Amino acid sequence: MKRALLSLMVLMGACTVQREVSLTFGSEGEGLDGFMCRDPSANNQFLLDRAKDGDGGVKSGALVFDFVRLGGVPGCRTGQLVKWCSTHECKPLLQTRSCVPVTLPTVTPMMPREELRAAVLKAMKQAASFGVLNDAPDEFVIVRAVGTLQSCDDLLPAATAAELPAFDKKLLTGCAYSCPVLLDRVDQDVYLGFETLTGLCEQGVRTCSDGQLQWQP
Amino acid sequence: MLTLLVVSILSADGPLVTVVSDGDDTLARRAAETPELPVVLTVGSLPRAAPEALPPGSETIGLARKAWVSADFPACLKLLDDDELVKRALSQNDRSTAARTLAWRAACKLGARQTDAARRDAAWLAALQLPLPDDVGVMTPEVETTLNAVRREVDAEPRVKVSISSTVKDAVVAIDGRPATCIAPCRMELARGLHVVQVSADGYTPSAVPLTASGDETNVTVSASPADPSLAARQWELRRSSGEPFDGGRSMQLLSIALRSARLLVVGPGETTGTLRGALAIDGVVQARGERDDVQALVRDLLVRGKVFEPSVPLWKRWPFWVAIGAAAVATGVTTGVLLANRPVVTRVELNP
Repeated sequence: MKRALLSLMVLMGACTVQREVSLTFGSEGEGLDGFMCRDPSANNQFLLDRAKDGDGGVKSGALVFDFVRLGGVPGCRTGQLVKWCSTHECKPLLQTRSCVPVTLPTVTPMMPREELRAAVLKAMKQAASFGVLNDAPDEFVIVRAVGTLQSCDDLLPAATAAELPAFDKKLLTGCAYSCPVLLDRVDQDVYLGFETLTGLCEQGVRTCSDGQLQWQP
Repeated sequence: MLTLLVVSILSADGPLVTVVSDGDDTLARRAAETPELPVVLTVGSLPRAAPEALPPGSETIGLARKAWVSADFPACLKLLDDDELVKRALSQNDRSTAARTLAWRAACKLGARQTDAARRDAAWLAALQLPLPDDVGVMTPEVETTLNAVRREVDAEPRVKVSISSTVKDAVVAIDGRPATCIAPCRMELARGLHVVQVSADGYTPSAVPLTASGDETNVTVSASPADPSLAARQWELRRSSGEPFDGGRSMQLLSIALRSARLLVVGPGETTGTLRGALAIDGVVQARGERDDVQALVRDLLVRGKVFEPSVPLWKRWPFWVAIGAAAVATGVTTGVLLANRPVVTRVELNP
């Protein structure tokens, strides 16, 4: 009996399909708009400026990945997602959060946008090939990447935690997210981006990083 | 389905076959011990026929004769007046008793001055074409004269055409105690009056019916019921004593009835020395005959040719086997398909900005 069960498990193991999916911000960093937002309540400074310390240096930050359960398959646009999540439970899955330290670039107030995009992209490449998750959820989720000055230790849940630690909204440096996707079936890289028509998009970053993707005033 | 196949193959027992040997019980026992047969072989004993009931004796006629000699004609008539005495004697082919009964009855009636009644008995005696018995020599001349005169009158009358048929195929017809007169259906001419028609056939109880021949033409159909085992045994003994082979069709039919065996297998010595001959009858009809050197090979051969069982067929030549294989293949295919269609997917996600 044991031998039969073992054989069955081996057989089942042999039948498992192994896949790999990459997360990307676009070849030119087109999805990094959420990391180039300014804060209107802080003299329109870039959120990245929050990383500057007093002596001209830059604090180390982190890039936190969450897989957000949607309870369905809403549309991809920001408005659609926010509307969907106002009536559904949109919640990051507890055991799927991962975090990688990333030091974001220093910025100047008048730094051209394309130059800033390239700098942020270069910083992101520090984390290239970072293993975000070994086994993606078998359901439709959105993948979210939140930049923060909090440490990974602060944001990764303890083994017995029932809830994910929340982000400190004052320490956010950027955000990007994917369309709803079933990662076991997707045949392309998954694109992370951020929709905004203006550089003053700190409010969008707060909404994006919210624990339940609720609209942030 | 595979289970059903296995169960059907392994199921024990089988049809019952009675084995009988012609004179050698050892041979029958060896035949019944034939191994690896899907039938049950039992040794049967050749039947012993019950002795046939003796025909009614002439005691009654003797008493009637004594009464006639004593001129006690009422007592004589009381003894002989029943027509059944004559009919019973005729149905047993005992024409002598029938003739004596009628002759003494006529004599008693003449003695009692019942001339017309005596003439009726004389007419019946003549119609049955029974010969005058020797007893006529001890009767009065008046009796002999009457019997002869009436016979001449009956012989002068036109005959009646009689058609006889039977519910039994090829039944042997006996008229007025004359055995094997014809094979039914048949036609003949009979004198006017009462006759007794009897049919007999192997495997059936002989059946006799009265027939009144009158008018121009008369038809009669005689039915017969199947023989009981005792009668069948007697009929079988008659066949055997007349030289019919033990495996002959009629003999096998009668033996099947006598032994109450639906499947009967007989074995015996063959035509040439060292060989054995046998036959198999099912429901009394011979299905196979054969001759072999070995009795067990002969039994196996007869049972196969008589379709009591099929010869052993390899498993792979049986259609249920291939149905089971096909079903197993389909089941395996479906299971594999389902497993493959529902293979668990593990997707590793990595950052590639």
